Amino acid sequence: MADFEIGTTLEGMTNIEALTPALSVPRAPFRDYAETVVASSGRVYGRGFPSCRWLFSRLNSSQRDELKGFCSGASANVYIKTLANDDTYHVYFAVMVWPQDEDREPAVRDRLDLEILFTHLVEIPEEEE
Amino acid sequence: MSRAATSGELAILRSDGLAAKIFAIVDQPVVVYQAQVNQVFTTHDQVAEAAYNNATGTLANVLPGMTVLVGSTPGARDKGLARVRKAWTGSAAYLGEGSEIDWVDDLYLTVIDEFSIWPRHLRVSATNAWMDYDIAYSDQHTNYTPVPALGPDRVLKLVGDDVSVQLSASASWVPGSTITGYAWAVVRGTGASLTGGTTATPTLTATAAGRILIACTVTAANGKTATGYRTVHVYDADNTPVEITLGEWGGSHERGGFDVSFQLPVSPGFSPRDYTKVILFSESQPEAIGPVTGAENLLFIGWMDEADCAVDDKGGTASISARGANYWLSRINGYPSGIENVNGTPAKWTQIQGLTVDKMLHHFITWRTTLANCVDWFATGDTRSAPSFQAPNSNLWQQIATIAEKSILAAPVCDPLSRLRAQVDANYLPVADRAGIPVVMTLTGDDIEYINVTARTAQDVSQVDLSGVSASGSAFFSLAPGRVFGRYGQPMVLDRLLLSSQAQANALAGLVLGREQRAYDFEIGLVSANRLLTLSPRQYLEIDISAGDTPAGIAYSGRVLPREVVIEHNPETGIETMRLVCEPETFPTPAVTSYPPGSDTPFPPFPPIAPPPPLPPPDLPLPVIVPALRVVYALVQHLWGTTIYASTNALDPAAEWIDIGVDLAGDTLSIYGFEVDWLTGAVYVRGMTDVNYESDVIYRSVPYQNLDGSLTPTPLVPWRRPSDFGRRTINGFGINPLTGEAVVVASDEQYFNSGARAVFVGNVRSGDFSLGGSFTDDLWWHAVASIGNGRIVVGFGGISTATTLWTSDNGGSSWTNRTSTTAANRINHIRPNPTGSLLYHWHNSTLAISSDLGSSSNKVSSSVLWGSSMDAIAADPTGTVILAAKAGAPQELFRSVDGGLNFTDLAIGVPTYGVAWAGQIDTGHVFIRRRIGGGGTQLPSYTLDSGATWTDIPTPWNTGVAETSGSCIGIKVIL
Repeated sequence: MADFEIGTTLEGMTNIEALTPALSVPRAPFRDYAETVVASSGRVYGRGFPSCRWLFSRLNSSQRDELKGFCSGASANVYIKTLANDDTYHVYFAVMVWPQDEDREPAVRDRLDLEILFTHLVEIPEEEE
Repeated sequence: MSRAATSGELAILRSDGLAAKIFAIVDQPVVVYQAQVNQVFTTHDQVAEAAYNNATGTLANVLPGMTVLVGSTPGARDKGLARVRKAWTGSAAYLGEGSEIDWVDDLYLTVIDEFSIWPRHLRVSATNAWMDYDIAYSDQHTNYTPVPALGPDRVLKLVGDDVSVQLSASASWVPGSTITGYAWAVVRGTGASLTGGTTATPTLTATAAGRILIACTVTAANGKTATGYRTVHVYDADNTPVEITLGEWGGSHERGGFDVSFQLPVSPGFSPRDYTKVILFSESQPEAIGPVTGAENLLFIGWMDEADCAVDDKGGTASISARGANYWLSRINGYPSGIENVNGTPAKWTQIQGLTVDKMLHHFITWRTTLANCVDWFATGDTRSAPSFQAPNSNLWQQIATIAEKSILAAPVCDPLSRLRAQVDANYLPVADRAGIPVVMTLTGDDIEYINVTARTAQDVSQVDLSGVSASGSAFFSLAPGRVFGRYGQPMVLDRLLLSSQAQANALAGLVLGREQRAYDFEIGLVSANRLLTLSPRQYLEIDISAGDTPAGIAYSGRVLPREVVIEHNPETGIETMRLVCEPETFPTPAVTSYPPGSDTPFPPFPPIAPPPPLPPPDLPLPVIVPALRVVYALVQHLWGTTIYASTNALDPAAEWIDIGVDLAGDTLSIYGFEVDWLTGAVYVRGMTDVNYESDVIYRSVPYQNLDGSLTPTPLVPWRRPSDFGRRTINGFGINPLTGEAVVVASDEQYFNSGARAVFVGNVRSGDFSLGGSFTDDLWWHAVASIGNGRIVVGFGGISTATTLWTSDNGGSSWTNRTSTTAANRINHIRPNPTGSLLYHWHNSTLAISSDLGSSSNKVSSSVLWGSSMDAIAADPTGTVILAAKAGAPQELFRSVDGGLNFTDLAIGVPTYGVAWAGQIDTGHVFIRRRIGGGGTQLPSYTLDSGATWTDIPTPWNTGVAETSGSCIGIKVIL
């Protein structure tokens, strides 16, 4: 089992595969820095908050509503556990941004390629988890 | 204090992943007391208390300094804001004196626990002065009130059960004493407690989110106490502050502090209010770096500027502008403040023993503002003694700047947390004194995103002409780089500074010119915002730029000073960057003594006297060390002075006049001539006492100005006697009022006779004179003498032979007889200003004008002025507008507006016995004259329209005491 989790509180985080209905494991590209800045020496700095995306290739309406429950507006503060570029899972406080466009399959209303953006990731140290 | 960034902090700044969220706290003060006015007011003017009833709340919670909302409904502020001036009784509300609230019965008073910046106005009566309406002087200038320095407000994040922070009042201070006690208290706040509350550094612990108001009362060894207040804001995950979109965060040395603007989501009905405290702070990754331990997250503390705020109710956002303490001090006007140094225990608000800039600042900020209630402020540390300070009527910030900057070049600057500090600029410090200034960080190519170098190729300043005085009255003059101007630029005049030695004057002149002639300024973009970099206290950055690093190919290696700091923040990415405008560390140029007081060669070679500074226009703000005296009238047996001065509309007919010249132990003084030193305000009177018959002594008096603007006389005391010059009489005396250069004519003959006349030249500020020439011309008792613009002019009035006029252009080493070209038979002469070449004198009973200081002259062409001597003459400093009073028929006042080519009769109708130019305003030139009134009395009057109309000035001698025995010797105005 993968270890992607989400919750509105740190203590209330749940593995997304354990939600009801369960979600499938998303693809989760992770960006360590918002931007890079080049110093006059040529050194490149990563600057800004990390961000990540959860890409679901297909979610049915119930699964979509389950996920939307964490983000009733355009964005919401959530806690997530996601896979970072060091290939380990970390817990973050994040801003969950719901996509402005949702693509559906006309017949069964399944969402296709739904992309959830998490910005302003602030890692929660393990001792606080 | 500024400090160097630690290696750990530098490692963070040079690491990846820096990001920040920025939040705002708009302070929400708590209502502690409400009441209703119970009084009928006869006026809204100067209200300082109000009777009240219908109170709710606990009276003990009403503390001095709190804000009072005054409104027509409970909790409203539609009538205005006021300040709790002192503890209220159960029926009387004591308020800061004001006139801006239209007080009526039944208004609602709402006291909130907000402490902000207010003026504490001065109140004066004829003989007394009180601070903040009713605080009389007792010992406040002997046992000073301590200055509480509690550090900034705090913002804490509660994670878990509690959060703690160590507070510190260790920086509290008091002039002339030490801090001996601390009493911290939680004034208000749920779940807040203190440990170590009687130490300088207690720990505050909070167990719940909310607003905490803390207080610390510091006690000095002299027994005095003072209390400061700060807010501590605690938030947690359930009570998160408002995240903002930062528009602008920046400050500059020129502005004296920092401003911010930002947008934030607001609830419906949100209404910005002036003076509401605003705190910006951040949650930074991996951690915040800042100058205050325990408050590294703070970005800004200031107060909301309602005029620059806007609320978008539909969008649910507000644009907020907030500004630091410097701005709010600049918005508040203050009455003039003046302090003089005294030898002994001060007896009133206008006296301080061992007066320094810091003691003056302490007096001003402590007693004329409430600044110390809510922010820290620190003085300069300068120990130079001063004879006096004046802060003319202006805004509080300008008054602080006048005290500090105009005297010792110490600029007041607030940091982003509104902590005020007055400091001498690092570039004005001798190089040896800069060792303690920290280098916050050495910038490398890894720290810099871009750097722009502005080459200052055209110098603005070609010469610094610096002068000032010491506490003992010694004057120092310096020119940098020397007597010859630099190739480009204009002279920069810095005068009336507080100096301790000639060496210091020279060093400072060189430092100032060194700064003005710096080659570069820098604009630096930093990859990472380092909040340790700020404008105050003094600090350096070190940079090492190779030619390849800058577009202009300029290399520089050395220290620079931040002059402007801007932080930019992108809320979408959390990226925080910083832009700095910096000035390089500069070093002194050479400088020379422009006039060495007391030296054997008082005048340097040609040009004999360095060009004096241009005559200040009359509407310039008054500098810090200025004589209070503005106009002096001299009668035969009385000398009167007043604070009346002419700038814009400042001729105040109701100003107080005082007699500054009759305190001679019962004796009286016949005045033969007098001079006024513009720098020191000293009045020099040449005369003879009528009882003791001490002949031809030069007396001196230095009247000083009281807090209410009036003058207090100091006795005229003998300053120089004929014996000081080895002669029997002093027959003439003249000074250059700008520089203090003086010339004395002395002889062994008391009355007319031939004999040895000696001319002594020197300077009244140093008091040193040396023989500058000997003559055998006839002398009819009095001689006239003047000095200025490189020339000494001396005239000897003859009775059996022709009057003679002599000039010297080399300090008295050699003389030229100008008698053949001037042929003056009355030798009184007048210079319209000390820097020009014009000279007026009487030639065969006719006014003559010389445009070359007496080398030659011509009679005025208006024949109406021929054939009779003049009783008085005055001209504007350019010599264009001239008023001349004719002694013979018609005994009238004549005016020329073309430099003396033509005169017209003003047809005033009464004789004029003295006249002086006093300034220029929109309606014309201002002159003061002395005219004959009814019954033989003489009245001073003034014109604001170059002589067309005149208004009498009420004075002691024409509003009750008729002065019939005196005849006007003259009028002099300090410009």
